[in-house]
Amino acid sequence: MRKCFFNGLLIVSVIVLFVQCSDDPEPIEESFFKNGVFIVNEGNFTDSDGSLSYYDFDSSRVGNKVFETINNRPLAAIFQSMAFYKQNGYIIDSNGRIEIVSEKDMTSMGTIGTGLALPRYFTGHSNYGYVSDWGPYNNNWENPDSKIHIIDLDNMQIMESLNTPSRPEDILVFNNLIYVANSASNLITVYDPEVNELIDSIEVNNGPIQFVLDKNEDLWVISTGAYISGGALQKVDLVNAEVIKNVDLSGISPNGRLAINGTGDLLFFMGEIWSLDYTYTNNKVFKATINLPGQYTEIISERNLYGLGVDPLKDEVYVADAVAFQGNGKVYTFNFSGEKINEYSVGRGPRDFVFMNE
Amino acid sequence: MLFRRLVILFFIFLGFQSYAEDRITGKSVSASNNPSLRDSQLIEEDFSIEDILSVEDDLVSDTIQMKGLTIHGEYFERFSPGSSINNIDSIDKQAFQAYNLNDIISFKNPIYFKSYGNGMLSSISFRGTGASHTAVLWNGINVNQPTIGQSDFSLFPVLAFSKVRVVYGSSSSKFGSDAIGGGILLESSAEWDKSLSGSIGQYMGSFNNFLTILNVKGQAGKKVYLNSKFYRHQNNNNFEFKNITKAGQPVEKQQNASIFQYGILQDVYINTSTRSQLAIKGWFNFSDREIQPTMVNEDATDTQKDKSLRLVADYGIQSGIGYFELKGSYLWDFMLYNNASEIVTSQYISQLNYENSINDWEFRFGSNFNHIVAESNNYDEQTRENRTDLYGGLVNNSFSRWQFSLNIRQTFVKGYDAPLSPSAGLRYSLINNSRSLLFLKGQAAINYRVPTLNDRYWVPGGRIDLKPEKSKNLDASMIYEYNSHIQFDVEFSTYYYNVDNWILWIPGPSYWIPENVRKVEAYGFDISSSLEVPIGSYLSQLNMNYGYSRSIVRESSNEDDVGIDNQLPYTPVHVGGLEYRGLIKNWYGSLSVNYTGLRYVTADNESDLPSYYLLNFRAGKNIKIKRQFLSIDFRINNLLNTAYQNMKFRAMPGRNYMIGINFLFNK
Repeated sequence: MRKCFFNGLLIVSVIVLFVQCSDDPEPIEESFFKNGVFIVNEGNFTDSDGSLSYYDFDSSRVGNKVFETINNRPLAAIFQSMAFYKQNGYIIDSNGRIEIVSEKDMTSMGTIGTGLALPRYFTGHSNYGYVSDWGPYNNNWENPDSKIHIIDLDNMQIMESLNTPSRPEDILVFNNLIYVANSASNLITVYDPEVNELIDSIEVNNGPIQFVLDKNEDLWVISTGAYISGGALQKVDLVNAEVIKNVDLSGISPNGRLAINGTGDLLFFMGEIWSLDYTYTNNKVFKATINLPGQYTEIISERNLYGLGVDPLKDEVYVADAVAFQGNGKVYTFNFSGEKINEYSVGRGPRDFVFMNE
Repeated sequence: MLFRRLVILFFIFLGFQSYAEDRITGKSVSASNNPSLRDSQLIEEDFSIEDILSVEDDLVSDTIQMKGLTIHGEYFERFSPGSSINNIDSIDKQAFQAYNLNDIISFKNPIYFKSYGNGMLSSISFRGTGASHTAVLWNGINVNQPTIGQSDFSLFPVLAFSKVRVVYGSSSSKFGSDAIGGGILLESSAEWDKSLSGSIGQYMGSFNNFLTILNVKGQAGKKVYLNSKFYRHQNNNNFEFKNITKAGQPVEKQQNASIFQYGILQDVYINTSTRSQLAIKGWFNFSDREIQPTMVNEDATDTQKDKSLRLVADYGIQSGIGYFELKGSYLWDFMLYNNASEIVTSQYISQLNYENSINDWEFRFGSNFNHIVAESNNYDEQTRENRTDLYGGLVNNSFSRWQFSLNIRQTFVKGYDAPLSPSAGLRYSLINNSRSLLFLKGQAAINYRVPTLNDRYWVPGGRIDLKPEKSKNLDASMIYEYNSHIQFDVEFSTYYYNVDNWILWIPGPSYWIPENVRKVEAYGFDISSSLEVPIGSYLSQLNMNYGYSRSIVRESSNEDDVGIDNQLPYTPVHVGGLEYRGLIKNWYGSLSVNYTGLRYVTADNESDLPSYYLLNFRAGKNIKIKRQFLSIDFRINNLLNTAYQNMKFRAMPGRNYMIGINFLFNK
């Protein structure tokens, strides 16, 4: 161990995570995180013990606490999401912080610690980053002051913040426009990054959380519903900015997780039903083609699932079991017919996947 | 036999409760019949540490305090021959005047407190139990907040009590709900026959920490004793710490952690006749705190205000048919979070106790009725709950070596059946001579904890159908005391318990829900020991304590419970302390180390916080000016400037200082 660490190259310590130290360390690659998947472990919100795991496809090994090991300090986050843009990774911490890391070796490149309340998702466009932020809670545990922050990626500072309906979640760039799903409303808001202004709102079902683009460049948005209204999967025509297909999902209680395969024609989403004694959730993962979204089929049924992802290159579905946040969670991999093909332990509260492909 | 009983009763009338106690409790025998060396030695001086202490010593006062009618005050010790009890002595209480109960209890006992920062919410974990498994009794009334079923020990300043006792092991049959791990008994009492006295104390410490204490007490006429106290505490609490969560681990100043607190205590004791006494005690405490955020959450601006008013009136009368005690109490707790979210509870408590003895049997029975009214933004409406307890106890003193007791209690609350809580205790005195004492003690009991108001009524999530927790406890202990030129004592106690229907809040559909989820099994042992060696006028004392506790989830109704076969989070297996204290003439000095073992942060025991040692130093001097006393205390906390976390990412201060000056005047 000692010899490895004293090589002085941080990348080596990355390798240590995956390859037990031997007398001859593996040759150092240009970028270690080329062929695998990052697992975003949210952590427990009272403990801020979010962490980053990485599963390497080549070695079939999992490394936990990647950020901590490489940067010699705990991530100490309520880890919401991670996105890569222009050689940097953006670790979104709901404690009001963004950790910026190098995509090559995950070394810390800086921190944005001011001006953020409850940031959720990041996307990049031109030389700017766009971050959805719930804003602070008010006394009734609402978030009336939600924002989209625009970050100047040259100096890593927030240069402007735009108002948005309450609790913005997923954020996406398409055709030079920024789209935001606002989960405490029934609106997808559209911003023009040229002028940094709200230019349009698309009315959808209540509680939109995540969206994906299919191969026809249509947007699919999943919503959880609100109060008596149920959840839905909706197809949005981005050219005319309107919903063109609506699939009622109130029967399966979607929890807002949505993913699409690499070819952009198969949608995966998750339903969540609580057990009668409320001690666990029964989760089901459904598969639907973009042509017949109403004919969804159940492929996975597990408890306490918290995250969903699809490998863009292989026909594999990833689900995260948060074991009710009481301890470290697990990742299961299934093929598209719902057969489990892999399983491993990660950090506490796994919630999202970021696939790394060359 | 009858004659002997009458004699005892007669002595009790006169307040010679020590006589009755001596016969019954071994500890008092050593204290009163063989005055401890410390006491006798110090009395040789023209004044002593004991003299200047504004609070009576637990050992000395029991024998001195004769004219006051503190009748039957010590029922708990009499009816619990099988329990181990730690009295925190007045020298320690004096040294911890400027601190809170969690500081002194964890210093003197192997008990862990989970603290959300420096001076922040501090909850107890006694013998591996959870925060709501220790009963906290203030003058005989359970003051755990009914909303959460636990106490924040950082809101209990040490100076507010003249007596602090720690009862090890289960005591539900005597204290009622919550007493699974143990009990903390907080009391104030009168010092009859002392002239009017008063004191002014001022403490100053690091981070702009200031505490002022004013106290006036004394007898007014022959029948009335008054004690008034006021305190005001302010702490900016902006200590420096190394932020391990940031790149480069910068040293930062803690933000948003300031504390402001004040309180008023007023006790009135009236000897209404030669056979009866009325005591009225009141305590108001106000606290306004910023909530210390974690190291990662530096922008937080959360605040919390707590106000508590506690009143108790206690009337005791020795009549021809026995001793009656009538208690009425009003407890009011107010909590305001971020100037928005408010919780207010009022408790109206009445208690009636009867005690008598026939031959060598002493018995006691009574009832406790508590009407709780709670209002919270998180409850649907004003919530009311009635809790009625009926209880009885019996102790036999017919054998010179053996003593045994039976106690039983039943709580009634609408909506669930609380378990019947019996206990059987036993004490055997193996050696009892002028030099040595050796006792063996044992106790078997069923204990319980009723669901809290939050458990039942919180919206969303609360469940009215929760069952109370039920625990089966076994305790055994051994005490050895040696009194001669040197004094030595050691107490070893071991325990086993299992708690069924352990209530746990688990994540539900977008909110958390309490469930009777677990069966938890725990075992362990505690050791405490002290040694006193005089060399000339120099007295050396060595005190140690150590606790080992394994507290393990055995079963869970939640199939996904990752805690099974693991130690409970924030429940260290090892805790301990070692102190060397030296006393010479009017000086004292102390060097101590406290150890907190590794704590798991998560139920699966995959994440933990490392153990730590804290070294502390204190010293003081007492100066006599005619009949007045001046005492100066100085202390250095965390002498080695250890960086540590009690809870994950909660910064704690490095080396810090405190100086205190107390001026005591006597009329």
